[in-house]
Amino acid sequence: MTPTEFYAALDEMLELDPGTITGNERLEDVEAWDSLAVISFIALVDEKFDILVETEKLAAAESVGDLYALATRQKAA
Amino acid sequence: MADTRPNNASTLAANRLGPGDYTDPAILAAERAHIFRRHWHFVGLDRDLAEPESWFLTKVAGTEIIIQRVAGDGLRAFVNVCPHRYNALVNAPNGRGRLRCGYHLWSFDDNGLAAQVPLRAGVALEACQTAALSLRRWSVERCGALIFVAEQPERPLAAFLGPLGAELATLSRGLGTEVLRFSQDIAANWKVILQNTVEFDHAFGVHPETFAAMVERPLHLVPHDAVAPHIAYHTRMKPRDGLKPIERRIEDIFARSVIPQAEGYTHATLFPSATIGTTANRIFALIRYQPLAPDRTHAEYRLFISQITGLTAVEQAILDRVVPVDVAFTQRLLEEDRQICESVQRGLSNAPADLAGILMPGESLVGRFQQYWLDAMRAGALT
Ligand code: FES
Ligand SMILES: [Fe+2]
Repeated sequence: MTPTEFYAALDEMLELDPGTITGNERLEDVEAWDSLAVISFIALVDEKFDILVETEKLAAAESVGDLYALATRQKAA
Repeated sequence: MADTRPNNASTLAANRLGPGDYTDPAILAAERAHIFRRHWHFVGLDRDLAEPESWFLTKVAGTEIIIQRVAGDGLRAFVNVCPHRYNALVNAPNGRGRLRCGYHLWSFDDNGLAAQVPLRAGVALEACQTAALSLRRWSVERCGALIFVAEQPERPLAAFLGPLGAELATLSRGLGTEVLRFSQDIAANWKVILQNTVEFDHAFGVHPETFAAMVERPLHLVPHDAVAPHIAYHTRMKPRDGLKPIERRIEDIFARSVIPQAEGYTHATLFPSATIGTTANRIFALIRYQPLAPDRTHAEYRLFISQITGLTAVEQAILDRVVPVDVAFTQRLLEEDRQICESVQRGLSNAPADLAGILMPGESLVGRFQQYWLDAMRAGALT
């Protein structure tokens, strides 16, 4: 999954207009990023990447970029 | 607010208890004798006694009781006093092994008979193995995985619980992880607290953002019949339209609970000292109450989730995030109830004896509770 596809998946998950997430956002500035979104993200990464997000790393994520790294780099681990 | 409650006659009903019933030490003494000693009390779960010979200490009607698992899955309930010279037999909240008094080291067998008595100086052991020198026993029985004790029960536990027994047994066997356990003293009479659990007209005043936000208006409280002296009911929740996909997924996970799905908020008040409630089968709250004084009640709370079949790793991760939110919600509700009960008790302490009060149609189960209380006090006084 390319970063662009990932951002599109986040848009859909957060019920945002397509193209809203561009990859540079800080999570604290994304209004839709609430506790339910965090849970949705766990489900999304499971579905699309077949990996289980590590909860501590997810809690430490600060940006959309961190989320992408979590969803992709963990695959090797 | 239009009231279309189908289950209640739309009339005012007498409030059968007066302020003194909640504040007078003589009433509490009579309740201990006539109600608390004669009824069954929920004290714990089978899982609290997982090891052979394990025990825990609890307090019922002002008396410390040791609940112990004995050979062959049996249970015993012993009063926490040594028959030699009155030492408290155990001091820890729980433990394991044969009960032995720390004062002169008498130890006792499964039936409470002295098994070893050191320093006998020639006195035969048999001389200490009399009924008078045995541990005092209370009745103890299980309903499913729930343990109940009674000092002088009027009838067996199954008869006492009646049709609620089967439901409680199924529920208790399906309980999964215990997600929170705590206790606190509430500055209110035990009846104030229990009566507060059987009406929800207070939801809009006391729980405006928690419970009232979830329930349908007008509030349908559907009583379950034939469970006297207990009270059971359920309420309907607002239909949850427009759920997000993740919310639907969470509901699907909980739908696989081992405990059969119940609608809305489902509640049982087990007369006279416990309540069991669950909201949409997510958090199960088992609470026991013991009066300490007319205006003080000890409350022990245990919150569980159901066992859920076939949880995948990601579903477990989802639950790990959802359950703390549900627990926090439940805690907030409990805290709102604690505060209102303490406020009612303050009101009672100001109330002139002739202030009679009234029960509104939505408070018919409060009337039922009061009737059971009056019946039990009368029956206890007669025997
Ligand atoms: S008081 Fe218990 S052995 Fe003496
Ligand atoms: Fe309440």
